[in-house]
Amino acid sequence: MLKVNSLVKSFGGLLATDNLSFEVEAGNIHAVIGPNGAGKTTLIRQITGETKPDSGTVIFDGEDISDVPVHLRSARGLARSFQITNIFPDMTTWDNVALAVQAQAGHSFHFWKDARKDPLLREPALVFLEQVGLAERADIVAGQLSHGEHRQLEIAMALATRPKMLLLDEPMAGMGPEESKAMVAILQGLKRKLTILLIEHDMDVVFTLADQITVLVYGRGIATDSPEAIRNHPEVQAAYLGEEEVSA
Amino acid sequence: MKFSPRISIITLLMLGLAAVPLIADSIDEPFYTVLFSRMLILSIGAVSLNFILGFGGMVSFGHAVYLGIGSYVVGIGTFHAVEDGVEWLGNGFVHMAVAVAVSALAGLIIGAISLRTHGVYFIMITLAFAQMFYFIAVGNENYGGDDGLSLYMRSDFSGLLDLSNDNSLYYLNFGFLLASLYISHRLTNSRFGMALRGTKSNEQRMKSIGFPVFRYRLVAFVIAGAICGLAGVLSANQTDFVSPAVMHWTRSGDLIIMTVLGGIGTLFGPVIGAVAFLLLEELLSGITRILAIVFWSDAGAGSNFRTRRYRRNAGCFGPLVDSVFPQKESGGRLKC
Repeated sequence: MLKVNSLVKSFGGLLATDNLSFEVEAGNIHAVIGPNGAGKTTLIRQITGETKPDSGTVIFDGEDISDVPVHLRSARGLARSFQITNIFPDMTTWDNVALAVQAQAGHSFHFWKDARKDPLLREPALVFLEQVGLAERADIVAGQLSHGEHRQLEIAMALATRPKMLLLDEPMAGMGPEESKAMVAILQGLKRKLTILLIEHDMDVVFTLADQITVLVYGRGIATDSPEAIRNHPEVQAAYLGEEEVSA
Repeated sequence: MKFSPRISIITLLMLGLAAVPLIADSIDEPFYTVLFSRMLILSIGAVSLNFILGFGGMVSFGHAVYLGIGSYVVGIGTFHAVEDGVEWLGNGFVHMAVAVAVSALAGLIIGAISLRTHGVYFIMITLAFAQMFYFIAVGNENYGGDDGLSLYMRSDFSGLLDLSNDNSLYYLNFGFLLASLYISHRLTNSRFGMALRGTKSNEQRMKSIGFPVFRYRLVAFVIAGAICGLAGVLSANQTDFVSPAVMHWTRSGDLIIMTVLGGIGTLFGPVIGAVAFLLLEELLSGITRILAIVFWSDAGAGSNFRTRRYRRNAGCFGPLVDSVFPQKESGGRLKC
């Protein structure tokens, strides 16, 4: 589904992405882990097109999208949920998702019919809200939702743009254990329905969800393998997991 | 719909507005019909501004431009209709069609340039455009320049409606206000309206889910201009006079204040705001006139000072003064 080929990106003297290659298979949850400053967000930005790599290519769905601008990448089915909450705070939860559905339903130069009573927008929106467990909060003004619910709403909106692949940049950031658990359940529900690239700090979450894990250290991909193999990988243990055990 | 104080106020307000000419006639104070007629016209302007300001987040500081365009269409049209005998130039339908077309075109040009900016820059550019139109009108000596242009006739609706009757004009204004409210209601709840609200709420997110934000804003800007142009046509007929002051930037400011006062982003807010604003204007300016009349009445003592002229000056304060300070039989001076 997604293939990253010898990607290089440096900021001044700092090598943020160092000749990185890996492949995400369709239907998988592929996690990228690594200590702070390993270049995880820089990697995501290069995949979405917000940052241009110095060299290397990004292949999505069999096509080289290295030179395709951001909004056209999202049109091709690459959806991103933001690290910072990015919703329509003064609209209801349902309206938020309905607007994302509307974005996919052709142009919006329809001036007369009530959009809030349009089943073509409302019903699909409700399905996405159910998928992320927010159906009961449909009529709440989105700004009043909790932090965890905002993230859920983000994912519902990303889903509403009907992506082939979802890029999740630390979806659990700032969540309590309960919210975190709910989010894991949501992502598990999405497994196999679409491809997910997950950047996450929480190791429990990563090992629960991921089919494949890529470990980044200082921009270099030191391993890409199944969770089991990663757990036992000597270099990974030394560079990353071992470090945590020492500090713990 | 839930019952709330706001809804009952709105219902009372609209019913009250519908009854104004009847009440004014029955108490023989036609002045009120004219005053409330102005409120209706500025309400239409405020409703159109609210469409882009309240729902689209576009703080246009030049919205009175369209009032001016509509007014000058009537002013210039009737001028030539009377001076040169070109009858169709006095036709009301022609005035409205031309006002809508010219306002929409002006909206397209102003919007296409201003909407590339944001925030304070947008406010300043729309203001600059408005002042540009203002000075075009000031400089146009053929049509009165700074002094303005008195209308020799009102728009002619060829027997369908006689606008020389203030009550007919009032109900024409009222009808247009209802129509603009209905249109605003439909627009803001349509797919287009939802997209517009989205651009106000979170522009960046709108782009990231694939909306071409600029296009939606521009279309809304043009629609608002066209509606306000119609209000300009009505305004010229109401005052029988057209001058650059109609589109002075303070007029644009008044429209913003009305919209904000009544509650931006609500359907009836602009109407409440416009009525409240003009009532306040009338009351507050009336106070000084009344004080002057009451305290200086010695000077004019000897005769009945409550003449028609006084009533016009006292405005809506007239009946109030009559009840607080009853007129003396002898017509003598008034003690305060």
